[in-house]
Amino acid sequence: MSQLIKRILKLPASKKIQIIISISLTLLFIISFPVLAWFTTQKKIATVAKVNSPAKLSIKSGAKEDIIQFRMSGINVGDGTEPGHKDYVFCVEGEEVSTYKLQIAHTTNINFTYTLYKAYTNEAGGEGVEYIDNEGNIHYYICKEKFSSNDTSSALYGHYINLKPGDFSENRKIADNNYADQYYEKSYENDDVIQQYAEPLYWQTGTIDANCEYKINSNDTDSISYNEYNRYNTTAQSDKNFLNFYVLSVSWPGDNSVRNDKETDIIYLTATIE
Amino acid sequence: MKNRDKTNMKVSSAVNQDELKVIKRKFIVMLAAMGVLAAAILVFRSTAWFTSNKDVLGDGMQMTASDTLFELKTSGSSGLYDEYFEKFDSEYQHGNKTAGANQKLIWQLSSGNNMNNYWTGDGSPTKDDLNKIKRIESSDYGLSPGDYGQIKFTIIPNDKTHAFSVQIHPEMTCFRVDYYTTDDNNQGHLAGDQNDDTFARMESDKEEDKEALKFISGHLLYFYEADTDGNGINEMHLIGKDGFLIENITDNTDVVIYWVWPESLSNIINEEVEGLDAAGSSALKHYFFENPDIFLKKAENDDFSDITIGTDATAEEVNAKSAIITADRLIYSSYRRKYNDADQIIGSNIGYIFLEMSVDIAK
Repeated sequence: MSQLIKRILKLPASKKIQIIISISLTLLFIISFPVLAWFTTQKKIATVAKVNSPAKLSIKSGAKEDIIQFRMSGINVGDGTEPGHKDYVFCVEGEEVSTYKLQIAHTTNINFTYTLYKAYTNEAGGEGVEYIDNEGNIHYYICKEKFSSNDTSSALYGHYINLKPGDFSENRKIADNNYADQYYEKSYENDDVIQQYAEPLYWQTGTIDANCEYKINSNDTDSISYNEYNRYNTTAQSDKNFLNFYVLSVSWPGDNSVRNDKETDIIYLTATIE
Repeated sequence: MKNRDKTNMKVSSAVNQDELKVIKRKFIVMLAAMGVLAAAILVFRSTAWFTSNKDVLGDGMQMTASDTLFELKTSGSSGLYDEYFEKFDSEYQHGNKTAGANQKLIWQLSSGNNMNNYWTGDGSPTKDDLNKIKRIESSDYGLSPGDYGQIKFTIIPNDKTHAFSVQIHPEMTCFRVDYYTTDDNNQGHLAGDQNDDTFARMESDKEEDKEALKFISGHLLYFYEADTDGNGINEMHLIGKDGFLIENITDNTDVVIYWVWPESLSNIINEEVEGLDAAGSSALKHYFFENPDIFLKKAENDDFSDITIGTDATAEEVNAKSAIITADRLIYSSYRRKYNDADQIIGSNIGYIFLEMSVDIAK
């Protein structure tokens, strides 16, 4: 011990200072950790939550083309004495959604009847509603089931929500301007009388299941899904991407109520997540 | 001869004695310095001992010697996404309670106490269930606009004779997740399915993260209940960046945090936000007008200065700004669309939120 002390004492002053500083710093470090730990009394609890991706729903034209290819202009009804119809194909595509509703809103200047059908692609070709895409290829769609207002619980239920009740002239369907005051006031701000054929009729479906199924022939054992991404149910039910085709059929009665006179109607197709 | 020697010896011994004295002095100085240091250290340590609590706590099976004022306790079972704690902050541990070295606790959840991250099916989720839940298209166990709920924990004082106050402050860290497609149907799978996790912490100084982080701070909000005006009724208050204070804790105290993601702008303007009481909805509306840019996505040339108010604006001012937004049907619908666009940005960018609740002794 005394030898150690002697050796320390023999060191030059600068070295002694360095030793003192280094020892004191070391001791300070050792002591400061537990003291600081005592000073910081913060406690934390935490959890992890997931943020859902926004659901996507879109309306496209036949053959999954962009909606800009969907055209309904210029229907030629001839002289109006023969009944007839013209069919338009569109589709609803979605991600992370499995049920939705459709709405067709249209003005009533022309006495057309609008009928909506659930459809599927006829890959074999030759039969069904034709759709010619932008490149000139022809696609065929079979109208399988029709939406009607007969059965409110049916998956194919669709009806006008604001049809004017009672008899109306010329067997025309027109909008009921007493349907819903709150909406009427918001849509038509001023008190002027709205031209009755310019007020739109709203036709809505019930909840449509993107993955519902059909049978090609009623005595078939196997069902095929209307979801064209999963027609033969090869992928799991929880997958929520879908593609459903529809045919909108515009028909006229042939009793001269619809002629080739220049009249214009506006029609809106809407799909909402339900 | 002898005399000279003696003189010499005397001189040299005198010299030696001087040297010795100097050396001794230096040695004494050194010893004194170290002694002062040791005394200072002892003073620190003993002060720490005096003012801390060295009670030994017996709690069922658990014996802890704790020298902190309180512990945090939660109850329930694991959240669905708790396995991601490894990536977010590996210091967090499972358990019912903070104790000793465990200062960071994973929140245990039960129904009604969750952020849509608690399994509500039968039994436990299977691995298959978990895979489906974590897919991009799954929406049952995630947050969406319109969601709301509560998360709870308990503060347990270690010494019920000393009252103390705490500052509670929530903090969200967001993580972006890379989903990849595996087939033509564009079904996004979380990369973790293939044992290849890709989580990226979102930072507010990164260009691609900025907007989403700004909007989540406005759209996902936290509230606490307190009776601040002394009328005996607890009302909801918005929790700001500094958190909120709970004073005078002497016994086990339950803390409930209400979280809400308002569905649309009209819920905020009409003060009809599900999950909040009238006071909370009113506070939210005020907060919206103080910071419209964290709620609404700006279109080009947008400037929200005409609908911005100060933090101490009156109710009349709030109503005046509200009237500007709702004056015209088209203007109102464009503002509502800006709120929805902000939601879209959140949903498309943020994958997971890591919510930490810090509880500090309030000075």
